[in-house]
Amino acid sequence: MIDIKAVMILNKLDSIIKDNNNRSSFRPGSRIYKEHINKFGVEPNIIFRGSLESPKLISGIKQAIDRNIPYDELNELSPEEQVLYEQGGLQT
Amino acid sequence: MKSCIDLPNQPGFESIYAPHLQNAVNRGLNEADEKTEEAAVRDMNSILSNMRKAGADVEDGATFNMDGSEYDGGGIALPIISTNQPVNLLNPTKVNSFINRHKDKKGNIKVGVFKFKRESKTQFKQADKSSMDLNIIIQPWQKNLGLITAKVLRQNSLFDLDAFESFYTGETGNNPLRISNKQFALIQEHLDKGTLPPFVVDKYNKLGGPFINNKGETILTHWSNQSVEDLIKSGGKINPAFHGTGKRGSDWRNKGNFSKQWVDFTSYGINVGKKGGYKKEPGIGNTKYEVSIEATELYDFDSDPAGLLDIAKEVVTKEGMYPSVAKEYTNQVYIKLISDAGFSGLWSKKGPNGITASVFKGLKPDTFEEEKVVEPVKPKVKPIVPIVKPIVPIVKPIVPIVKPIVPIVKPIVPTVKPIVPVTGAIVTGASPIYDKLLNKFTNDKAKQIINKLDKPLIITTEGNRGYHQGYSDKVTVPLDNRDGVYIDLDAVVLHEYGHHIDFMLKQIELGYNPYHRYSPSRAYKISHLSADRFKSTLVNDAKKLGLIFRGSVTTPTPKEARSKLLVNSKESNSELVKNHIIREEFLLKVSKQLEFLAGPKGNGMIHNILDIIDGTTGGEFSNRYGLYGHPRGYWKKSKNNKFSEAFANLFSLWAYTDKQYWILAKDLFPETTNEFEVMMEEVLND
Repeated sequence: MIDIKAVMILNKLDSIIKDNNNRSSFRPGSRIYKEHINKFGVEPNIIFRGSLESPKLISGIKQAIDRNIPYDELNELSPEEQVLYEQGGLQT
Repeated sequence: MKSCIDLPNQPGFESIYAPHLQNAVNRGLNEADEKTEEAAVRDMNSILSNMRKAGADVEDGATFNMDGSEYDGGGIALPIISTNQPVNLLNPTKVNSFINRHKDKKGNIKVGVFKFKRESKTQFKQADKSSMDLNIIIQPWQKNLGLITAKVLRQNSLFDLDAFESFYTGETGNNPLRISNKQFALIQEHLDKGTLPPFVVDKYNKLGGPFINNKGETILTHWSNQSVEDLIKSGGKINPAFHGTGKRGSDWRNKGNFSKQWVDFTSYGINVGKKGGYKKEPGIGNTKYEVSIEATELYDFDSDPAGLLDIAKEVVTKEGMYPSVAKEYTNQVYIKLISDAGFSGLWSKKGPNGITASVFKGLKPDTFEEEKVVEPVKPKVKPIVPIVKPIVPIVKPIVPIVKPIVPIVKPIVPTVKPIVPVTGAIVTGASPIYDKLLNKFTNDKAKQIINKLDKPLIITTEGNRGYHQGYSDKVTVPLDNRDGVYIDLDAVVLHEYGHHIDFMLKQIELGYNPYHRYSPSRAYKISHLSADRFKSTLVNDAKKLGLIFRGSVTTPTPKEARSKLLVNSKESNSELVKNHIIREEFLLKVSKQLEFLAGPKGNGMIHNILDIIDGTTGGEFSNRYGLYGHPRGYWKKSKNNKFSEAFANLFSLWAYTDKQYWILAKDLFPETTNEFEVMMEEVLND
């Protein structure tokens, strides 16, 4: 027997997923983020606050893809601060 | 005998256009035919009968020639003389009697009969109301003159017989002004020449709004820093696209906040140099430009004759805007509606310097004048020179003959903390620009908190990123190497300082000793007070918003929820998915609203709010909607990051000079903001 309630909920979910996909497919930041995952198998390592759609971040990830090196913002910190960040002692 | 005009015989033309054209041509020819009086009365009877039958909520009307036949020749009907009566008393005899009373008037005069729509059950209790008007038919180019005349005559509106559209004057039309035959003739004579009779100009200028000349124009005055040469180079018009480049009004922030509803405008003074007119305020430039504009191109913002403010309120209510920003947003929507309705601008008397206009389109100045800057007059009175000479001591000081004792004991280090002023400017000693910004962005209470607690051990303005490092209590705010404009500079300066406050409060709880903080071996405990104080409040707020459920802070994505539901369709999973839908709908709604508020260039304070939501969703929010926040990896790095970031964001919102963002934060996170306020009070009260 078909669970009508479940089907309705699924339909609603489908529309939400579709809406999200539509929204993200128009965003260059989201596209380059996915491209990074496809190429390197990992998300870009972003540690500073901001928007995925910031032109600076997009160009940084693009450059990383072109250079064949995964994007990693940890490199912007000193070695001591990198350790501290890993310990949860550096807030951005 | 009716003649017939041949239409072009082209393929396709006949089937699409011919019937309409032929009808129009025939109608015109019919109008040229004289109707018998009997036929006119028959037509009138049928029209009036239909009007009486029309429901209470229906507007209806007709325009008649002076022979009683129906007029459908177009133009704009300007009512000059009116009489009101219940609609059930309307009959051909009454209309004919009205016509006969005015038979002596010559020109393009028509009689309009109009039945009003009943707005409420209590209105027009006896019967539906109608009005019978003697109209002058004017052409679209005379609309401004017609509206001014109708306003002076206290008529409700003009009616466009081609577009079936009313142009409202802001008057009720209940008590129209009675005019003489001479004045009636004067109006006709002047309208034909494109001017207004002097009595209309005089009466209009006594209404308290913008003054007009006999062409129905208002003179607007604009002061600018832009020289005439520059104005000519940039197209010769005073351009609203330059909004905000001169002295900024209180509304300039709305340009970013409400960008989709924003309409660029130029500010002008009205009735300058006249009683009650605009008085120039300081700092708006010394090149004075005068432009003229048709008075009715400017919408009366204060009395809102077309009821656009109510529509704006409806729009805002439907959008579910937060109460804290709804008022300003409503205002912005109202202005947008005025612009969309085709007005070139608006005028208002609510400004502090008198009557002003905001104009949405570029205007070419008629005159300009470079005003001389008047230097302040130096006081002519010489300062009073004291006439009493100072008393010179005649006793020589005693020279000590004993050498002072050199202390061999080291001075006692005070154990009592030095008193730090609780108000006044913040001095961190980091850099003049950093201190200037911190002082600029903070309100008085925040200054007290900052001054009460020890400042960060290190503040650096170098680098490209903002962060707080707990090991040595170091705040990094990139001011030196910014590429371009840092839009959320206010938020970055305050946010990072907020991390320091949170950190410092925990160190005090752990037994912080200010005299040991410079020790080279000192390493602070990496801990924040927010991790203790926000643990339950933030979770509760997030639960109320539907962001988290079942006690978990992060939840699977909709895709994962879908696959779970497919694997097992138990009720519990249905509930889980339902919760997801609630969450997704909230996120979608709030993302749209906050994205809208942040505007295309971003807004640091809105970013703070987005970041708090982002923390409770473990980065899903910013990731999925491309909005401001921290990446998912950051939230995973430490379970306490969502609390410390919430604190830094709240500090930024609370400390900021513009309180509207804190009110918005209180709407969204009532428990956490309340706890934050308690924490700040605790600091102030030791």
